[in-house]
Amino acid sequence: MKKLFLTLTLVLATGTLMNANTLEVEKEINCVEFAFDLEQFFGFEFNYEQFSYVVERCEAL
Amino acid sequence: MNYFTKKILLLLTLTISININSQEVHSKIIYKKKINIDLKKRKSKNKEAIKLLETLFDKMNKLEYVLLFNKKKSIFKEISKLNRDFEENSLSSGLSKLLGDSNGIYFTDKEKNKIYHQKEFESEFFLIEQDKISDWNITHEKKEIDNYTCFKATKNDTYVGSSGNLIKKKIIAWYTPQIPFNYGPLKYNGLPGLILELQNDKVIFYVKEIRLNLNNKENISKPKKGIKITQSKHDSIVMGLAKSFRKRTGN
Repeated sequence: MKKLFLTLTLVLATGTLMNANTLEVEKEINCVEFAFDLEQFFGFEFNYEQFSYVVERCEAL
Repeated sequence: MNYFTKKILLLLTLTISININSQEVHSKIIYKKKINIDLKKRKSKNKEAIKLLETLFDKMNKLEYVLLFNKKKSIFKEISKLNRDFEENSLSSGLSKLLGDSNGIYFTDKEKNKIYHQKEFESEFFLIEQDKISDWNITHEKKEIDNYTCFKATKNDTYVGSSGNLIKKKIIAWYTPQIPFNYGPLKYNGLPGLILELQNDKVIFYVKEIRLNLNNKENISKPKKGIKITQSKHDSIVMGLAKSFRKRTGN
């Protein structure tokens, strides 16, 4: 019984961690897309500093 | 008066005279900046992008920069006029400062023929020795700015784009020989007169106030803090960072 509980807990914990990781990656990609949208809207390529700032601030929202 | 008193008096006189001499006459130019983009022509499906640009225009309008200079050196930096309504940490505020490469401090030393840019990047301070500014194409085109006759000069420059590649950009400067100091906003200098307007790609720095030959004490000294690095070394680091960022996000 104990083993079953332990296995279930491990499976659930791994699933939660993977979901959180996927969400973070998805958020980063969404924010990168937002930065690309902004670049397109402005009509010029940002420098790396500006681009990474947009992504960083977007992720913090 | 004994020997020691005489010595102290002499020392005091010397100190005072050195102090008076070091307070050189300087001049002060206040610039503002704006984005050279026609909003009506730009379209985006991204509502957030449109909203951001609208607030960014407003935030940019509150920013001011000062160029302090004397015969030997100059310093260009943002004037900290931030008040409570200027949300320091908002995306629009931060981006309004970053556009036009106006973050940090630019220092020009004419005697040593050096230009430095101190800025914070990736949580580190850098003191970047800039490449020499040359190859200006001086034209006869002219216009009036604040009752000064200004001539147009252009040059090509590059920056490290978000793709990690070197991107070409055009610099347009309007300088006036009526103020015979070869300084200007950011790192741009070397023209036969002061730059009163500078177009750095899509951002324009324009003059708001000109105050010449001031006597009050102003500190025009080289920033000290930061990892010393050359422009080309800095660019190659940024290129590497940008390329690995693109690789990581699959773009």
